[in-house]
Amino acid sequence: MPSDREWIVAAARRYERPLLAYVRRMLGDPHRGQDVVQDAFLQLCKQSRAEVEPRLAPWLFAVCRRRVVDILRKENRMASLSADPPSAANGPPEILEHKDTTQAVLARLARLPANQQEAVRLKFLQQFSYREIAEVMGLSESHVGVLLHLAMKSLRQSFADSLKTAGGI
Amino acid sequence: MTTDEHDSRLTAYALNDPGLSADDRLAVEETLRNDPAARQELQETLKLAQLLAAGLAAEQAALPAEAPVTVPLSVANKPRRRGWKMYATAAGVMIAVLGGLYATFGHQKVREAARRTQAEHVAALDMQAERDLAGGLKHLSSIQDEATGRRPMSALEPSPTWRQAAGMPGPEDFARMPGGMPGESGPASGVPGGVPGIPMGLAPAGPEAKPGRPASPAQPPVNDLAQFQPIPQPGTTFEPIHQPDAPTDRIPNDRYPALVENKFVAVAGQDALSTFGVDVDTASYSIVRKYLTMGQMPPASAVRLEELVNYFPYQDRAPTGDDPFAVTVELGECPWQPKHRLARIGLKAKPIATDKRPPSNLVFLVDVSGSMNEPNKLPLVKASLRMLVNQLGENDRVAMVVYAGAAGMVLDSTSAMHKDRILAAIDKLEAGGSTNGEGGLRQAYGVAAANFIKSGTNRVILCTDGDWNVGTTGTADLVKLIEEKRQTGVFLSVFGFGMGNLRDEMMVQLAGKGNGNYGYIDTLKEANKALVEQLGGTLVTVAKDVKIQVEFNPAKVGAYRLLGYEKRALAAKDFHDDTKDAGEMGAGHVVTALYELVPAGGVAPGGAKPDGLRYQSDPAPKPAAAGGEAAKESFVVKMRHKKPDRDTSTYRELPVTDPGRGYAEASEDFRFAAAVASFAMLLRESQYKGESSFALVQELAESAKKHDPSGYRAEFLELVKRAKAVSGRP
Repeated sequence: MPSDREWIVAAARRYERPLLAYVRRMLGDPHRGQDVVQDAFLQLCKQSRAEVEPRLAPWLFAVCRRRVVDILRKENRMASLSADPPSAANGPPEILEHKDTTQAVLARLARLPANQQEAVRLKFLQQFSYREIAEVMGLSESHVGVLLHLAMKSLRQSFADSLKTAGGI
Repeated sequence: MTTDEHDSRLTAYALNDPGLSADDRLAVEETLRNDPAARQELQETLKLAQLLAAGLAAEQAALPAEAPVTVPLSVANKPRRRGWKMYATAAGVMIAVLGGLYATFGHQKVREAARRTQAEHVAALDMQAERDLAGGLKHLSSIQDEATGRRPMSALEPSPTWRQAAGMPGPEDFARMPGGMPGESGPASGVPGGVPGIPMGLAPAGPEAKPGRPASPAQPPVNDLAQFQPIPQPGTTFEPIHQPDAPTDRIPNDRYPALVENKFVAVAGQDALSTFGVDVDTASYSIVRKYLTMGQMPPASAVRLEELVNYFPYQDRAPTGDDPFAVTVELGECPWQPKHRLARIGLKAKPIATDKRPPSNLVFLVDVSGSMNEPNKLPLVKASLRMLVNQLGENDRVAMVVYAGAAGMVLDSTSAMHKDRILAAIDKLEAGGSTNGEGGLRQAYGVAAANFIKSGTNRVILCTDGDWNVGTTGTADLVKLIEEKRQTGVFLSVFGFGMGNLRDEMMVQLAGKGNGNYGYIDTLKEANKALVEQLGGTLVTVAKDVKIQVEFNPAKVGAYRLLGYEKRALAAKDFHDDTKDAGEMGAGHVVTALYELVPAGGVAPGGAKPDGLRYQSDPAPKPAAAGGEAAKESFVVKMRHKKPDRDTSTYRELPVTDPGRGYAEASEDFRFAAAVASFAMLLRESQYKGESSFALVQELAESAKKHDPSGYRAEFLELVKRAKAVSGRP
């Protein structure tokens, strides 16, 4: 077993970028967030390894999330985390502008309510289980299930045609 | 199942979430078999998942690089931050270099990989669409892992050589991290016994599937998927097939604690002692009933034999005088193993008349998180609490704390004289938000302590589906909190509701550590049993830390097996140790323990021999050292208990001699308890079930249902019929 410091260095290498991407997206600013991530690893240094190790990734994300929520709260920007869709007018025309279905899916994803987006990113970028996502977002597992389901449903419906024809993507 | 519920389970199934319970999985598969639209939805979700995994990975990889995180030189056991002074520049530089390497090289890899997996996946889907009319269920195995992005490790991750060159940890390092690497799956991901990338709990179906254990435990469960037949052949019936050791029982997110049955133990030396704590939980019976009512066999590990046996009232005599409980022991023929003897030990706690109940200080702690928003959860909780409140009188007080996103008091401690106020508060409960169980529990204990009634009942009553997110504290901390509070005289009762999220293991632990009982409430009838009929037992503890130790006489008994109570096993030396916690008995509770005995000279199933001892050459039974009457005894039952407010225990014992009766001559209670035990062993596919069959269970129970004041025994018989039909066995 590597020493605790090696362990944290390994964790930093492994999770630094995913955490940074996550934090930046939540802050809505591609140039901030480094300090949040740095702080999370400082907190990690103070934790008992045995306690954190089995759920290291969700722990790190949860710590970062709490900091971001604090920051947003101070800046009165909590709305960006709420369930309301950023814009109600989700018209399909814009989707057609994308040549690539993947790009179109990402564009459509960006119009889903923030909490759905967050759950989707934690699911597909971090491969977290519902339980882990629940831990990060402070929700119940079944709530996470509903968020992911709603997100997948919206996306499926928007791309019904390309998804149905197997070769259409 | 409502459409939305069904849909979100299908999504969880497609995303292959390990938290999806075995029964939900089975329900989804049932739907997939029958509903082409659902199969289409599954396909689309799988494709979408692939697109998202690839697209998001590429998007993240495109982010600008940044100065990497620095890690202090010394991190171990430094509770206080030492500040930035501790950073070593050299180390920082090294990490920066490595981070940069990752930033540049890593991105290319990821982008390339995303393109590749996407292309491969689409190709795979094309072929499947042609081959598989049923919609791809058969092929789920081949694409499942990629759909969740877990499998294509080789594609998504830098090669091991690159990793070494850059000084990155090897795969074995990642393996210890939760969930492994993003593209990693398989046993190396550190999930014991389960493969996160593969759905669990699929019952092999179809003509070639064999009942019982999976073909080979070494084979990954993916093979079960290959066997899966989406379209039933004519003449084929889909039988829920019971897998005693199915992998479902072992995934860490699973709800039921793994349970290894007690073995036969040869009566020799210290092994002649069998020690356990009593247990009055009955949740397992309700859970089993729920499964069978839904037409499924329950998972083996959800079947806790003693909880099934203890669900039923027995006619054991109540104690007289000051004794908090009376003991009855009966010895007769073992119905499922005629060469063996069966001992039934019954403890009956002193019942208490409702009007004699000491005053009580109750705090309802109600989970109102989003997950409780189901018909069989919060509405049932409300109905159950109303029933309970209606039993209370002027000496009782009720407070109510709810927990969701934040814990909160919704009713200050109120005398039950003002029932209307209490009932109004119950009616107002609504589900919504996330779960902060720990905060709620702390607050509830705080309220209970503030209104503490000396020489009364002080109890927190937790109603939850157990789906709580304990924040940064783990179960261990929660259990510690409850153990602490137990010392203050505030006890805990846990009532579980609903099936979707039930965290059985946690509930068992919380109630066990909180000097409480754990019941599972699935119907109003069950609420009536737990909260009205057995109110005394739920509220009034008459004896705590009740321990039983049976000492067998090697001249009469060759080997013994305690049926059930696995979770309450104690070491022999703990019997006399008053600091060791054990089970509690509430007023009127009946606890039944069964032992299967191999007479001296007989052969125990599974070959119960003392472990090969090097220095004790003669493990053969010796005549009991005691002469006279004691030599005729089969065993002696020793008991210890404490009064609820005492810290020292009282001891008593009861020697037992075998009258040599057959089971037909035994008491009704003996036969009924034997019937339930036999039933439990059948459900568990126990290796100790002997000649048990549903027919035998029926015969025993039929002959023992004269005393059935609330109709529970009749209901049991219905359940046996149901199990017989569901399992398709005699």
